[in-house]
Amino acid sequence: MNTIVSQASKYILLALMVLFTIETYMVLRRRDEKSRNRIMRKQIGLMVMFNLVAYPTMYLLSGDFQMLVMFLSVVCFILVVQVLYRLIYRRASMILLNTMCMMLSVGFVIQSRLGMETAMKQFIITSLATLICFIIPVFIRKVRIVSRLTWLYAVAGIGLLGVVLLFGRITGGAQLSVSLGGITFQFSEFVKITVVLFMAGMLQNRHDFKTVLAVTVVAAVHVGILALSADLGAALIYFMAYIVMVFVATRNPGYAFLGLGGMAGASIVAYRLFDHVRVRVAVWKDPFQDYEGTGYQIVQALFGVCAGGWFGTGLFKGNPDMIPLAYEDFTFAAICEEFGVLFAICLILLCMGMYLLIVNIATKLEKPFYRLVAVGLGTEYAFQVFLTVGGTTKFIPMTGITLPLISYGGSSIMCTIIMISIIQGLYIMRTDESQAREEERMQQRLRRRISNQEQYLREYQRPERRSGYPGQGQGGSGQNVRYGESARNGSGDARTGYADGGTTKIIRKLNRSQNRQDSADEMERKNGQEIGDTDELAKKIEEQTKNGLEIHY
Amino acid sequence: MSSQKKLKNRQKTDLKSITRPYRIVSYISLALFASLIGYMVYFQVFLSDNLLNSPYNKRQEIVQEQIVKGSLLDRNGNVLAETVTAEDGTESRNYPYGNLFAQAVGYSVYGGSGLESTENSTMLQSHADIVTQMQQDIQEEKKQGDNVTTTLSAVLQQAASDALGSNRGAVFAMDADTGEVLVDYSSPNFNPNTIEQDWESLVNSEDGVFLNRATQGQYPPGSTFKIVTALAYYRQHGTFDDFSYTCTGSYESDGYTIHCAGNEVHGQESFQDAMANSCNCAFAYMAVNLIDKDLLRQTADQMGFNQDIPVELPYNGGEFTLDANTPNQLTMQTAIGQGDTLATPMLMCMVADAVKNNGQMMTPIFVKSVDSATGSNVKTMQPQIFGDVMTTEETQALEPLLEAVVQRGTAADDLSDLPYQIAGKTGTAEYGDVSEGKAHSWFTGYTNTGNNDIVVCAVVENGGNGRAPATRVARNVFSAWGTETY
Repeated sequence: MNTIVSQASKYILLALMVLFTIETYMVLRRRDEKSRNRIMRKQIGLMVMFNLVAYPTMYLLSGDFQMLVMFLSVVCFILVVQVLYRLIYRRASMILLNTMCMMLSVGFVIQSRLGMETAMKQFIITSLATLICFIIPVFIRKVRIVSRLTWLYAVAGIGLLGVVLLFGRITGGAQLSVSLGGITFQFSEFVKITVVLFMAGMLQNRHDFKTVLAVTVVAAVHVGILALSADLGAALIYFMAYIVMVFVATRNPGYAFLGLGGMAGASIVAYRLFDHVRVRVAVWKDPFQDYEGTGYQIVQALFGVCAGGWFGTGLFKGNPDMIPLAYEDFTFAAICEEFGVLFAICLILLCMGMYLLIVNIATKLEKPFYRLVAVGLGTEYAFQVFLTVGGTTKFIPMTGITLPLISYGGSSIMCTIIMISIIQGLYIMRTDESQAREEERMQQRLRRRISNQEQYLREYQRPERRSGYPGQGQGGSGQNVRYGESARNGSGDARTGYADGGTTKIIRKLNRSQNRQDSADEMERKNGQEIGDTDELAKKIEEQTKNGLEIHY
Repeated sequence: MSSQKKLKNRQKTDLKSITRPYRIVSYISLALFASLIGYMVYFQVFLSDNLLNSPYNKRQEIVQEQIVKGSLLDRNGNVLAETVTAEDGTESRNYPYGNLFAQAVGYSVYGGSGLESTENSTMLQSHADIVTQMQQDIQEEKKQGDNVTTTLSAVLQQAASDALGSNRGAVFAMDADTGEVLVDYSSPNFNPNTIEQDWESLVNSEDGVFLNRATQGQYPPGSTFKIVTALAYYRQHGTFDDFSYTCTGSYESDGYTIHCAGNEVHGQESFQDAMANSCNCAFAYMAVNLIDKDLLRQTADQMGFNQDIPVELPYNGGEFTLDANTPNQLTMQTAIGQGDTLATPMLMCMVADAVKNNGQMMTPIFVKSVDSATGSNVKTMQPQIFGDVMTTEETQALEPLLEAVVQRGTAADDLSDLPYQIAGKTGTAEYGDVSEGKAHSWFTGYTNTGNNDIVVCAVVENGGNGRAPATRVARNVFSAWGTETY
């Protein structure tokens, strides 16, 4: 019985994940609001289903009652967040929110599988962070000063990293965290955000060599401190964000190549200088060389990755606890083992979708500062995924960082949620901006159409043109009756034929968008009252058209 | 109007040039993600098998609980080892041929041995198609592991066993072209079906039943080594034609005398005569006088002595020492395969294979293919070349010598009447106290029909001096090859 449950659940979970991933990409393609909304609702359903399958399965297999507690908590969390977002930030990117919730779901499931205690802790931190981060979009919208605190970010970032370097206690061979009142903070996570804010602030208006140089120096100080603290993963992520932001701001590929060259050089120097770098490269080349020692972690992770095959072993049927740090740096290996490689590939695709969403948002933003912030944070996210997934599967040397939103780690999850909230804030502003733009465009279009219309009408008023066209049989189908009628009446024959309901609609739209203008309002009212009268219609419409035109010219 | 248009165009290009780097960055990131996914697939398809089979991977033991270990089959699909599930669900391995494949197939308890051990992880993987796997998952059935088709032939193995009877010894045979091992038989042996009951006595017995004599048994190669000596001679002189020796039944150098078998006197001999007669005196004479010692050592090394051979089963290498400072006494013995020289039946089989195969020595392989329980091919092994150890010219010179051995020489009594051409070399390798006259009997040779030829090497311990000639054992294998589909 247990096996059936576990095996059935593994295929169901995979199917749900595949569907969810497909829907995410469908949203990227779909433009119209309606089908987007339908997909969003479907995704929430899939998410709830995912949890509904995963936790009861784990409860059956482990007999741990807390699984059900966890299930209720997670589902509540998802629903509350979804509802709150819809109430407070109606214009936020729901697809980004959904993707985040799905990844959190996967994270909570695998954390619960690996250890209830850490899973609970993770859940509490996540909920708190999400709640606190509700303020961020408002903050971004209202407090415009954020784009002018450039040097403050640099000082704060370097300060925090410096503190870690000076007072940090050793964890896992790297000085990564500082304890404050019992809570351990990994500042390099928070500095990820400040460094992006700093670079965006510097590069928002000026892209001259001096500015780039200043940015480079400050970024190099950040990276240098991290390299000294042996936090190579974070160092690489900062560096990547730096290269991308400078390139995007200056549009000069030369800087990007210089940066990449610099990175290559720095890597060689780091390889020569730091023992821990050499160890990582050696382990990457041949993890079996020092199986009992430095290679042990990665070898166990690799065993985990291949243990599950395409479909995984099923929950509680694998041995992810044989992987050291499975809940932290090697979560991806644990996922591969019990959920299978196909599921893991879906997860990568989901991360990629998240990144594409962020870049998409970035390109739509007006202000260079926000654009740079979005692309910077997105790059950090994407590269972190690349480093940890690539490291776990020995595609690249392991750098020892977490899989955002999925791995255990308070600072990591908090920062990722902050980052996503910032991007939500930017997106909300984008929808503000784009809505204004959309209205503007709409009006322009109407103006153009109406002026064309007018020209057209004027042309037909000329007698020589009118004689060329017999009254009947003109105009599009469906308009014939009315057309004929007005022709019989002998007043403005052709005109009426063309100034049909379409124009009325345009005008209505136009008027709606300009409802502050009384004359237009009046027109609409009149229009509404008298529209039924076909005899009067032609004159009215002509008048309205003229009036409408007067509004603009 | 036109200026407006221009403005608009400019705005458009502005927007485009702003978003362009964003697009470039996202394309690069897409490439990174795509490479990651590609690598995951590559990892799963190509790398994961090796990792699953890694001896460090402790998950194997756990996997065993979910998969029914597959079967080992002979080259014709006869089951050599299979999993039998009792009614209460306990699984055990069954070996239908009992003792016949004791060492080659081995057993799976007590850490395992033979192919049961080396192919263990292969048989514990299931490459059954996805639908079947899903079905088995859902029906809570254990998955059926992959089956390994070995290169072994039950027919030929049986022929070897029959011929060897109760004698101690070994037979190793392989396909001349591909190096596929057809026979890997060693006696004495044990019954792997009852290994657990017999374990205590088998471990304490002094018969060395666990030793796979065909691949691990190190014997002095005796006269079969004359193939190598002859090759060294040919390499030094470029021809056998100028050789002539008059055998008086003994040859003396530096106060040490060597005798021909049975003190026989062969008289005037060409090189071919010396080989056919297996004339010790002639070879001792040529080693002392006509062959550079370093060249002989180099030749032996090239033939696989003192080298690692990449075979799947445990094996021992050949041992050979000789250099310019070696005293003549030892040189004479070395030339006729005595002295410090040691070889396994597998190695001498490979030497004969090189002669048959135009100088290309094949590495013995034991596995033909791996197939899933549902019959789909998982992988097929390719022949492996150990080395191009002789030139065609050299093999063309050596072949008539080995044919002469069978047609009119020391193997003629046992092999010349077979209806197809066989070439080879006999050997009588003295061991232990010379005065007791104990000697192992050797034969290594091949069929030469041009069609599915096989190379057979047989050793019968203490079968020398006519007691139980290895040639007769080999004959049984050759005739089984000739009359039956193996």
